[in-house]
Amino acid sequence: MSDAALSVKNLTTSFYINGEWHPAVRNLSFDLARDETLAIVGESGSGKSVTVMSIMRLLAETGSRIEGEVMLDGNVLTGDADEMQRLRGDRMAMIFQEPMTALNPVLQVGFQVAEPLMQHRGMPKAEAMAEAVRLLEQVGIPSAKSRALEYPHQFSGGMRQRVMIAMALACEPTVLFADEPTTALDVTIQAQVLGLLEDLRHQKGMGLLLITHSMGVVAAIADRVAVMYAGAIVETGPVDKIFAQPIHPYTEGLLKSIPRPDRDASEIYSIPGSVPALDKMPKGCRFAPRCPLSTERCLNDDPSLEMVTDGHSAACWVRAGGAS
Amino acid sequence: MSILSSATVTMTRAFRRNIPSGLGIILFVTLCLLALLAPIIAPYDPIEQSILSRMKPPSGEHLFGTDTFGRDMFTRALYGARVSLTVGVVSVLLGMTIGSVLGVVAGYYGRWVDPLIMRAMDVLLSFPTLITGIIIVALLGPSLTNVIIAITFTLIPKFARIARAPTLAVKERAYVEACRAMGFSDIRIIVFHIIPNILTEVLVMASLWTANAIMIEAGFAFLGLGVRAPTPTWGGMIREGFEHIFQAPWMSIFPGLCILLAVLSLNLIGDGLRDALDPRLKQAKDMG
Amino acid sequence: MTALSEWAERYRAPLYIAKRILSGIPTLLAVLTVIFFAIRTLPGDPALAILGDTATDASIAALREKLGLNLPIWRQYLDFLGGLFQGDLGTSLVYGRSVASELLRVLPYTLSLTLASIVIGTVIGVPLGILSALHRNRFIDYATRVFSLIGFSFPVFYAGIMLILVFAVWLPWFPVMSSSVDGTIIEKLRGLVLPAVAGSLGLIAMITRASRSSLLDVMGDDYIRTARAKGLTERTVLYRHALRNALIPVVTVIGLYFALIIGNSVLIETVFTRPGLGSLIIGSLDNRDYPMVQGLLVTYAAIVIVINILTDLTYSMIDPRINRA
Repeated sequence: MSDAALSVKNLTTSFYINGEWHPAVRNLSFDLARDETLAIVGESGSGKSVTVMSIMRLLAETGSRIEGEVMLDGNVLTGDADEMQRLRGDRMAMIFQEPMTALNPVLQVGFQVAEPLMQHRGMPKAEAMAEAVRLLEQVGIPSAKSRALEYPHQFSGGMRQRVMIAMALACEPTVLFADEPTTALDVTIQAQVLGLLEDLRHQKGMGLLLITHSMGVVAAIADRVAVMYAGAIVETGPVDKIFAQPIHPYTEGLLKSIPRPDRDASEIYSIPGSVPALDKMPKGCRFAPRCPLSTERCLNDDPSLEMVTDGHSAACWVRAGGAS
Repeated sequence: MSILSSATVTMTRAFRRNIPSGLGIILFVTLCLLALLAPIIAPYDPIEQSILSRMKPPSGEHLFGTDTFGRDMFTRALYGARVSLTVGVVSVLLGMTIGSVLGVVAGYYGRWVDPLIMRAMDVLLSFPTLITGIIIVALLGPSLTNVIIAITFTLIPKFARIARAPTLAVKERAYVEACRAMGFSDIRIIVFHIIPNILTEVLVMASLWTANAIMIEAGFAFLGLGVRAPTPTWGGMIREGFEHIFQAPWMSIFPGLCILLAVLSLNLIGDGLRDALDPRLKQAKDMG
Repeated sequence: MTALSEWAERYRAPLYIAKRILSGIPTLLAVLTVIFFAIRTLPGDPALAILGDTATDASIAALREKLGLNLPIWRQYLDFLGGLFQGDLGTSLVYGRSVASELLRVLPYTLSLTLASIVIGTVIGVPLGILSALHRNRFIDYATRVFSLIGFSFPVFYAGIMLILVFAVWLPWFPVMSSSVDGTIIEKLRGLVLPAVAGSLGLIAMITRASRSSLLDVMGDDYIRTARAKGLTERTVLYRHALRNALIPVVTVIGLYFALIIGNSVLIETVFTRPGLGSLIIGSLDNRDYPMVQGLLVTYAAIVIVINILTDLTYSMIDPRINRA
């Protein structure tokens, strides 16, 4: 799989809480091809964001520990701070959830977009600013030339997220991480921004790793899905298979909770309970306490991912055998 | 094991946070006791002159040395604490009360009352604190009471500003609206709903400005605008000592250390109070 | 966009500045009124003060007439305001010269002292605050915090006296008095060092605290994470992205301190026997030179009001969110 844009093997990230290390991400493995959109789905607290922050090495160094192997463009990352600094914003870039606060309020928007070019390409400021205007045009910001000289507070939420996208794409990265990029936006704007991401991903042939809690967003742009629960992938496969034949009861629950126009709002389903806290993880299958199908075995042993049909795997004793 | 160690960590942290404010309280209480008990502790008379022992350097006999009139500096420093602490505490109590009332009234009643009061406060704030004080003392003449009045005046606008902002915010809250709808009197609303909301910040500022008031009083005394001689004041002792800085540096050094300790103790208390009561106030002090 | 809003957009910054300056005028008028009436309540008859106890009633009456003290109070008030607009602050009773020229003579001393203190305070305070924040809860941080707490608690005149004792008496590096009016630039600067350091102690402490706490706040902001995600070096993240935001509260501290140190110059100038607004006001109060006191108060108020406006304008330069007129 060396032609994958990003390949993650056995990623484990732990946090130091009350004198003990607790894994927030456990033995996570996945590949992301070029020109592919992989969506990581799960409720808040499932470890989606931590996964991406671990790959980017953006977690605070004290109190966190990252193990496992990450390959970017076929090269194994050592996790060395200088190496990571050179790769961030160049080979891998990231878009955040909060466009209102993720841009620096005291710097011109164009300059913030130009920064990765100055940092990684060594472009002089004037040239980088001109390139930033081109990037802003590319993400659909009208009269980009004058708006590049404005400040973030003069932009709407959707426009700021476009700026974030322009900034992330400045150096044409191999991999783009998007952490809930549309959650903070109006519904109408959400579709526009998702469409833009999808177009640009295709145009540049990047791998797009999209983090979301919404199956609706997944359906809109993902090629493949990885469903995460309590720090591990519980089901993964092509998007059509996951939607047509979900295996894991957790995936089923997520699918049932998509609001649909043909149903009344009061009928929207939600999975009972919530993701357990890091220091209160059950043993066995971590979803068992909330699972309608759980058995004695589920409560004692942790199932591993098993291939059910081609490219479609799940970790569930009941539905996927889960034998080792 | 882990519970034990985490408890230890929490306790150490709390202890470490409180050491400075604990130190401040001990220091301040000690100074207050020394001031209060000055007539009992003091080895000599603070005013009686003794030509034979003029400008003696510090020794076992005279801890802080003696001044130009042969008076024991340690005794005078003990008595000086009375003036400094009285001025500091009384003027802040007065300034806090008057200023907070003005601020709350301005914020609560709004309309024409608010601009009237706050413009008046702006006028007071248009002069450097020390200058306002000096002019007021010049108007009234130097005496303990007038120094207190002058410092109170400089503190009023500061407390008014602090009290006004939260009052404006609380006034708009639903439960205050509800109280009004139920026909509660303004006084009742102010006492039960507004005051508790501004108390934290006002108290923190009170301790910090007591420190400031002590510095201002010492400044007045140093300029000769304070309590009249021969009553000992720390600032006045430095004023006398500074004239003989070459021959008798101790005459300036020790009274100054007293001011430093008093101010330091109150700043320590203020910092601790601020951290304990509300971490969001962290910046307020840096600006005050 | 309509023509009007386009116009407003283009002239946003100048409009903001104009608005801010105009907003200071009512306060200034109120301040002038207060000064006028406060001066007239000061004890003592200026005519008597000039002529001394031996003056005859007739000569006192004549001088009162000449000084305009017999006019109705509202006429005196209007004359005062009218004079101000022409830069006329009256005549000093002691020096016999115009108050304005005497003020202009001493103003540079106080301003240079103030500016020097602020430069020292900023140049030392900001790096100390950064250092403290970067080494949070380690030795450097604790040491810096103890240092700034003590600096904060030092009465300014005591600091001045101790500096004289150490650096002018025990180590004769600097002059005891810094009044060398006719000295060379070098001598003047040498004379400025100790007074400016004395004046800067409290500011160093305040700036250190403010920049430390505000940098710690800012380093947790989302845009810092964005800056790191872009692959900027920690240096660039700190100096380009964090520091500018962190300095916004520091500007407030400097603005507030400006008025404080202008006031403290009374003490500093007394300790170092320096000319300036502070020593002038003390002398004028002693001599009951009321026109001079009045002129000094007008000057103090003008400085404070101008500084407040400048502080706001500095904000709007650092923080683009502010100048929305």
